[in-house]
Amino acid sequence: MNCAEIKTILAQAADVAPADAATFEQHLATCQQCNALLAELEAQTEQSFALLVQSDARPPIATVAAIHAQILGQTQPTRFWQRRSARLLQLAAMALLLAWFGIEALNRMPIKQPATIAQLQTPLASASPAVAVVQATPTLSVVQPSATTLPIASTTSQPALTPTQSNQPTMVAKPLPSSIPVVPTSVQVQPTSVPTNPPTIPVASPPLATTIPVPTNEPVPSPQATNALPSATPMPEVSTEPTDVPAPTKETGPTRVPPSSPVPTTGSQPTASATQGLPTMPPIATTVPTQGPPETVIPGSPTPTEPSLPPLTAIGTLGPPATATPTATSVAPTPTDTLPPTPPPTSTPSLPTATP
Amino acid sequence: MVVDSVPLAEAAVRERLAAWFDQYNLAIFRYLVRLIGDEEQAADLLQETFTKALVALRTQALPNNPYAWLCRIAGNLVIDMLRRKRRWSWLPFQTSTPSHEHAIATAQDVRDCLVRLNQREAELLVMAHCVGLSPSEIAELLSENVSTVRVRLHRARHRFRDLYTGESEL
Repeated sequence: MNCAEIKTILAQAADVAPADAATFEQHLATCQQCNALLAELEAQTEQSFALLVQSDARPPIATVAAIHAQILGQTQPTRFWQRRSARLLQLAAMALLLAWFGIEALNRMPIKQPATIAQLQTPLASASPAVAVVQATPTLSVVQPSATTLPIASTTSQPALTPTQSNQPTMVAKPLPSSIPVVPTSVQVQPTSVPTNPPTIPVASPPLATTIPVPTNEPVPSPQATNALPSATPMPEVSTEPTDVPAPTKETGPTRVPPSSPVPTTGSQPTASATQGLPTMPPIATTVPTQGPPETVIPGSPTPTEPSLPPLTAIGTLGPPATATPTATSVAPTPTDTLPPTPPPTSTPSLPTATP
Repeated sequence: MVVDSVPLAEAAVRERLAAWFDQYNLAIFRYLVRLIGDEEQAADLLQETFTKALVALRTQALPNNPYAWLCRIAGNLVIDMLRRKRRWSWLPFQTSTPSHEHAIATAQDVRDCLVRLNQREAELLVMAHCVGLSPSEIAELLSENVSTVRVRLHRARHRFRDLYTGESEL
């Protein structure tokens, strides 16, 4: 066997006979050229298979466990029809079967067909016309076609349907003979008075006996005394019991209030000037509701400046009406009354009035 | 190749095969991954390999080289699967015939060439170049003459080169 025959054997696809294989081996043992050729073939093949990279992957644990269980006979091997592709094929086959059965069922459904044309005509003749004259509603009336017929209304008639209907009046919309009285519904909106000022809180304040100051030479009340006069406080009842009055030292007659003594004003603190005995104007009985001590009334000792006044009662209670006095005017104002403008006192803060 | 002429009992076969699986499953899995290039398919083929081995052991004796025997089963499964895949894939249209040295070879080209070989030649190449078996081991595994295996192996390599360089078409 020579080198050409070796190449021929290599190119053949038929099976190699054992005798030919032995001859082949004998030639390779002596032929360096053929050995080099076969060595090159082996190297090239090895280089090509080196492209198949070795993998360091590991089989999944679940797969390993499943195979191990399958080998030991614990589970059945997966059949072809249990695989995913086989299941898809099964689903497709079932869908085809269902579709075929559905088509067959539709084809076998009996269709009722009329035997003759007369059977078709009978129900048509007895049936109501397709275009029926609708009974006019109260809003519609039959009028003769005129020029004033609205084109839209004239189109409501369908003369093309039947030739006899061309002479029939046109059904147009006509207004009702009597107009529907439309009663305007007036919605009475209650005016909502939005107070611009903050609402006045009605305080059950008793009427005050406001003493209008007379421009006299009265001592200027101290701001402390005047400011402490609440206007809305109820007037305490006047105690009729005599209070402890400093006993006169020399006179035993009717008690006279020394001019330097503080004016028994209810609730008014004696001013500093009064306590110091400064000459002041004769006292004026002022009935200013204060929270101070009750007014002291000394019985039987009317002062020359004090007229006989009825006993003071609590302001706001039922009592004898106040009489106008030349010096002191006790006014029992009602909440709605307004006081006349009072002359502004000189450098004295005005007493708060009962009106808010 | 065959050591025991009498097949083992079912339980013994299963125990022996389970032992082989514990011993060679990793090597066979990597061998499958190298040939196929996909781990999921390799896992499926690993299961199928041992399923076929279990069926085969029920009718035949135990092999001397179980690793080579299992690799042969796995290699044949890979070639079959590659052929099935080749039917449903597009092959590149080669306009030139580059030389073997300048061919930009890829793993997929090698697989394509393997598929285009006949089954016995591809089996020989896989066992020789992927498993690393010698011609004598292959001859023992295939129960053939060593000289015959050598000649067939040379022919398979020659065929593979022709396919790889585009000089030959099946």
